[in-house]
Amino acid sequence: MRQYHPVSRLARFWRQTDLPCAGGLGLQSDKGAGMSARVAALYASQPVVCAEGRELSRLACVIRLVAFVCLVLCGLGAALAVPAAADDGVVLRQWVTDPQNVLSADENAALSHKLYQISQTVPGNPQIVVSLPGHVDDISLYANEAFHKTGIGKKGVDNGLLVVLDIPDRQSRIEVGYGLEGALTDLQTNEILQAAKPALQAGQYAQAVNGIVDALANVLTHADPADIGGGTSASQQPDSQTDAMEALIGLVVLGLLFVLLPIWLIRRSRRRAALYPGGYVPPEVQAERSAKWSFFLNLVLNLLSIILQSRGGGRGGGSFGGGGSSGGFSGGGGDSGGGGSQNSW
Amino acid sequence: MPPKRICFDAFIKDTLMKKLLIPAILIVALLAIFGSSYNRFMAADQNVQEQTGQLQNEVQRQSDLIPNLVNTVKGYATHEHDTLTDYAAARSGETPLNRIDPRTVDNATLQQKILEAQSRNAKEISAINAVVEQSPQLQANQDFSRLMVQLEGSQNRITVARQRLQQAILSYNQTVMHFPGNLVAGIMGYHARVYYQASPEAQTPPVVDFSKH
Repeated sequence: MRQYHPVSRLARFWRQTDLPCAGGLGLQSDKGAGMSARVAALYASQPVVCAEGRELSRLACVIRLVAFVCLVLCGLGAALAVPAAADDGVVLRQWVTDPQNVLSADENAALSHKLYQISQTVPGNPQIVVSLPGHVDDISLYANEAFHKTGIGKKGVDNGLLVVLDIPDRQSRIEVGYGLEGALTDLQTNEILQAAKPALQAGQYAQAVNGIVDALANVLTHADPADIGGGTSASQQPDSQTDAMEALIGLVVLGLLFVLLPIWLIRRSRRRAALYPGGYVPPEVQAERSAKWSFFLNLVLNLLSIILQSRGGGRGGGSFGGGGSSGGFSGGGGDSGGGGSQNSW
Repeated sequence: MPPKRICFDAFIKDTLMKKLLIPAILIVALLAIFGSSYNRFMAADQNVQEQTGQLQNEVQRQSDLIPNLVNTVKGYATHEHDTLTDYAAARSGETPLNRIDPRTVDNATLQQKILEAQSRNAKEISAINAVVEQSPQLQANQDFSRLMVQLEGSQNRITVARQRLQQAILSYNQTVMHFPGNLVAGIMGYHARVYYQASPEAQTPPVVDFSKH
């Protein structure tokens, strides 16, 4: 008959590994990939542990191997989930982007404040962003790229507007997000640009831009709420990377649950039955077992934290409008399909 | 009897003989590759279809605009009158693009239809452009300039939709052709796609000169 060592080497091993405790769930600042690499390195050292003469129960070996495979898979998933930062100069970071200093500092600040106010007060919270980039080769291409990469407007609602003035080439464009195409037709945007023409011809750019922004805000304020995404909520589309990640985690969990867990449970119950034939379990052994359980809880929570961290770090959600009084701009992931119009003066 | 103790190597040998752990891990790994690949293929494929649909709509939007434009321009047309009438006649007998259900035709056929519609639109636009060049007074016509703004917006949307479709196809192809997805893509029926190639004349921009307004 098989006999096992009464003192659990497993529990001792887990205590020695010095894993970060579950309480650190919210405090860990490591990225998911770094974290899992660290834990994986810990598990990867097992042949060395063996070579040192430390012997492990079969159970410990099984669990460690499974945990190792699991962590490697999680690490891979985390590495895949972190996208390369795409920024080639067209991403707008402010309400008013004016590298040529066409507007004075005061005008810029006032306009920025106005745009922030619009994003807070106009129904549906649309984002209007102004860019005065100097010369661009193709204003429509630039506008669409800047819009798309900055992600003006809320994701799914796409309630953003981009006003571009290419002053050296005397060209203007209003790019309209998908979600506002119903409220602002190409014709309306063209009329707004048309109305700004005298000011642009006179070189009064601040006045022209303010006029355009006021006109846009006016149209949006009086638009049917259904046309500006006010009534509808953003449709939640599954992110492809999140999707792949979920499939991976789901399958690993399923595999563990239906293949390895029953095997382990059967083996454990057999071993326990063999250890204490009479049915009586001494209190010190019971304490040892509860220590084991606390470890498993720990392990599960750590894995969970790795997964959550890697998912959270995967994609910035795009906060809207910045923090309260600061009024900073950050895109919310909105998109445009080339709607709007352009004009020249 | 001393307690049974084993080392890591012995454990591996032991389990291998029992054929328990290794097959289990292999199955989990295989399932993970299949499952995640399938989801990625699905997502990439959906994206291509969505972008094709977008392009289909935008080209149709342009096709719907052109007859109005032709009606406005007709009065000014001298040489191009017959050409414009011919195009209008040809158009009336055809199935509009947005009546084509993407589920009933394969993607390549749909792309071909979109391409044909785009090329025909482009020919009509060049005919309209020719009229505009002959008759400068057209530029002062309010209806005409309104229609031209819409036509220009539509052209721009088509350009954007075409770019996005190309990007969607590129990312789909990358998903399908890269390791480890390529091991299972063929089995699941996901094959590399051809890119949407619009002929150069299909990109004729409408001539709009707003300086005269």
